[in-house]
Amino acid sequence: MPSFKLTHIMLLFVWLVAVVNAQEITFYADAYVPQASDGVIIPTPQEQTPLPGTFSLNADTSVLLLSDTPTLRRATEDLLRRIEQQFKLQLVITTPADASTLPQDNRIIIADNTHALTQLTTEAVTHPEGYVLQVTTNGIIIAGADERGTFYAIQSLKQLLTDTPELNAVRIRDYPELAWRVAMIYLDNDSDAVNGKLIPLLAEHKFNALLIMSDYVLWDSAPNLHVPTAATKDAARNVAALARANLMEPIPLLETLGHTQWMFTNNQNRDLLQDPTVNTPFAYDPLNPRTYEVLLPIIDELIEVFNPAYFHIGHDEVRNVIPFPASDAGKAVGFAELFIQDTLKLHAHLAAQGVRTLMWQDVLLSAEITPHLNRLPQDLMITSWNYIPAQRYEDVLTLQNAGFDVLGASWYNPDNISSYARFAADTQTPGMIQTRWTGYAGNASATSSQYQQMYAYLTAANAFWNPDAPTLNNPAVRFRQAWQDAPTQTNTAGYTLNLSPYANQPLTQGIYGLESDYALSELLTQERLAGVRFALGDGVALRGTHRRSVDYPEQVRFVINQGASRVVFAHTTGWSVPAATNVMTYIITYADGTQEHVPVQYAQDINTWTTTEITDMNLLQAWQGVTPNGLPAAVSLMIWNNPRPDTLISSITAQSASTLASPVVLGVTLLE
Amino acid sequence: MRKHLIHFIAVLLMSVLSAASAQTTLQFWTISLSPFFNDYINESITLFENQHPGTSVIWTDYSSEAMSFELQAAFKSQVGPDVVNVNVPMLLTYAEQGSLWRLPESATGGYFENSLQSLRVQNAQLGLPWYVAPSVTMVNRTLFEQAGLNPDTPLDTPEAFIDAAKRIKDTLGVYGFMPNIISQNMLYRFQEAGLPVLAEDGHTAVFNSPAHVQFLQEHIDLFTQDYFPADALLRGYTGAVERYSAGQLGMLVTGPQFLSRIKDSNPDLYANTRVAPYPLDDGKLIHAPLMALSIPLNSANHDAALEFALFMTGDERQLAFSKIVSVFPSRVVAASDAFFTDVSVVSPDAQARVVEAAQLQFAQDLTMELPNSAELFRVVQTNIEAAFFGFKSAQAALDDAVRFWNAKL
Repeated sequence: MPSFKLTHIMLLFVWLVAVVNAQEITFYADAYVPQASDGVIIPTPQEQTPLPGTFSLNADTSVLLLSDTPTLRRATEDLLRRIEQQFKLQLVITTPADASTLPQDNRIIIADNTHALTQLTTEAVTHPEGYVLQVTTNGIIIAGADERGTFYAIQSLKQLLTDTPELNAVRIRDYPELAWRVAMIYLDNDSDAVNGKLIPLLAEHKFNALLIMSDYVLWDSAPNLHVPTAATKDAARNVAALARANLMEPIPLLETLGHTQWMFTNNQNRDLLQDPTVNTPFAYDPLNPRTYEVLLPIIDELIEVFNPAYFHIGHDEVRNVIPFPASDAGKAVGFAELFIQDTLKLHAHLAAQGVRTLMWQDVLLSAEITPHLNRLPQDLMITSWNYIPAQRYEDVLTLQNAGFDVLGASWYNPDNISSYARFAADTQTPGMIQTRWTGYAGNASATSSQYQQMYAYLTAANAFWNPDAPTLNNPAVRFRQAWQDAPTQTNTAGYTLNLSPYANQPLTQGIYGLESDYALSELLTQERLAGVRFALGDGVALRGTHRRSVDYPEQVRFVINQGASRVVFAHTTGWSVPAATNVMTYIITYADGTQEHVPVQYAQDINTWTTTEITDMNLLQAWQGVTPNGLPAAVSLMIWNNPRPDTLISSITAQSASTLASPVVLGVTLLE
Repeated sequence: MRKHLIHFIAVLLMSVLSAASAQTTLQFWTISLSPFFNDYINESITLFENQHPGTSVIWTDYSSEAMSFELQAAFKSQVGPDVVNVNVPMLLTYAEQGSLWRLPESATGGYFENSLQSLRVQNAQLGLPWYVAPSVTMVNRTLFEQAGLNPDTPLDTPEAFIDAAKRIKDTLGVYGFMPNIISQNMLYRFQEAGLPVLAEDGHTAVFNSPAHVQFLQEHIDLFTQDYFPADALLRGYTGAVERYSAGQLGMLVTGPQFLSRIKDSNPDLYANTRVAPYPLDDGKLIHAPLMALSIPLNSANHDAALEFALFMTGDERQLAFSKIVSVFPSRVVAASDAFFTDVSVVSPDAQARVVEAAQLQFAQDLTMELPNSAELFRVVQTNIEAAFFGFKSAQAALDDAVRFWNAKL
């Protein structure tokens, strides 16, 4: 009798598993549909007018490069490479000497305004760096106001390409509103790899100058300051050459007076410290003549490497970290005099070599220095940083009224980037710098730990070129697409997993017991996240250490019984934890009983639902929206590549690491 | 008789052995007190050991960052300090983990109630108050006189303080004050004004009431009328200290330690500074960062540890510490010592000592234990900035911040 019962129970179990499994897994031939480029031009053009019809790129399309400079030829070659990758069309560049022999249609003409043909066919833009890009049924005409204008038009055309060789006819008349559009980058031992990729990307988005942080380079004049993380001089030269090849002005930045830790690396030059009694080697002593024996030769090497027209000497936050002046002699002279004299000395040294000096504004506008502004040369160009959104940026006006040329400087706050650029345009400020404050020794890690500073370049590119344009949406996704190689464009079949049998977190309710005003209910209208189909409805919340999450299950096992090449998880957390904290593990159990453990790390694989800012380029933010009460919200995806795609996966267990994060699984999809 | 003698010797030996085995060693961990205060700490330990034969104390000092790391490891490994120096945020974190020993009520006599309150979690006293550093108001006498104000006029209410600041700006074109309202400081200001941040349940943000909105709006109005500079929002007290040091700020509200910086960088201004009380608002509270001594739950020597913590935070030791550095005692008797009441010395340092000691009863560390506190404070900061710079109304800014907080609390 007992054995009879056991048999029945076992049969019932098998039946239940089969039924549950049948209900949970749904096949879709298009479980993943790649997201094509949306053809959005960044920065947003000043005028973009749709025209009737389309132009179809084909194997017979002629590419006529009439303004043949090395930069424009390379840019055109890049364009054709993109066309070949995207549409398998091998187009070639021709540079006909006789315009009368040009084909009348099925052509791409790349020229400047001076060319007779472009004058006939387009309404020229004469604004420096401006261009016309016109797509008609006959072909494409690019007419730049100058070399940069033509170059930027080619970049716009590249961005117009989507997943089809059929281009919608359009007329774009475009020009920058701010003349100086500067992006700040860093020299370190990652420079070739990072800047080699970053500089063309910045040029593609129409930055025209680089502020190059150069504190750590292997200078010949200071071998005692060499550190393994420093850039070689060749790497610095590469940056200069690449900048110019992309029509960008290289402006070296060497931090002086304050923020001069670089001068004291390897415990060197201790005699030059402003305050030898403190451990922080923050500032040098301008009263010590040997300071300049160290400093000026490095400046000269920078000039030799970059051959710059402009040089930034820093001079910010001089008194923020240590007392300055610290010595009795310094106190006798006074801070104002020390600051002014150091500025004048460096300015004179640069001016003697025909180089214009740039410096930050904050100390200049301190109460002690403002009475002395009239002692500073009027050709100083002041870069005025402000990282908080404002409607007026008074520092800019104060310095302009004092007779200085001023550039604004923003950081990664998108609202500030937009409002500052708008203010700059309204006040005839010639331009803006997009600063980045990471990368002194670890350029490469900027994408993994400070990604928000990287994708802010695109927000800034948009605002600096066209301050009236709306703030750029999805800059994190767009930057990643621009940075990484284009993904393979193929639809993929797969299975969505219905989480309802396991669910304890309805999407109509807020996360971990919050009321429905906080629900991620907008997700219910989504069929796909980042192109991946999910059965979105109810989620599975797991245990954490927050008072609201402690009573949830530590783990939940999903029955799968399906093979997959990739498994895609849609998930979030209730709260944030430090980056790289392991918040959960997906335990993949195969039919043969073996397992794979897939750790999920905060910030790179998963984020809390209230965080829309992305700090790691690896994080795939799949959805951004708002809760019914207006709170911005986001959900991320994680893609796991199955090392054993031919073996049946019997189950996946979501196991919480029981941290404050408290993970919630919202969707699971298996791709063939 | 011989049998009795042997028995007596045996008992004697046993008691000696017993005394030897009763030797207790306490591990005492502090934050950033070495090397500057080695003499003070070592002297204190020697005094305690002399008064408590059989108990020895081993002192270890860590930086603030290292302390957090070491303590977490200690709590997990069961090997760590018996008495540990914590600030309020640390205490609240370890309280949530259940890592701290609940002190007996009998141990709490003689401390300022507000200080004890800062270390009380769900009615459990988890630390003894140690030293505290409340703020004062520094007054630039010259600017006051040039503005037609009497620098000795009391400024101990917000109204008097703001009136003086306005007069200075209106008369001289120099800013009169720079409020410290960056990030969580605005939350402290709310509490000082008697406006709660959280409901009594501790899990619901309530800082968007009409009274909170009005408080914020008053500051926004002062800003838009140019009664304080944007620096106050952009650089906080760093900008304020710089401006005051340069003689370009009428009043500076800050900790007494900045007096020494001003004394160093601008001796003339130092000599020309009057120290006035912190302007006390309706909450009758002054946010003052507090250091405390706690006893980990996993200490095997709770009683001896408590003895030592009481000794270190006692009147005599706290008074001695206050005499060598600009900190103040958390005990009533120590704070009423002549050292803190002598008005015969007129230097700003001495004035600060007297003024601050008189306000110690109002000092409380208003730090709150919050999950994701950095994120919550960032949201407050972002919204307040948006309100000050005209992107949101005061009501919308506080509503948005409260909505976020209530998603996380």
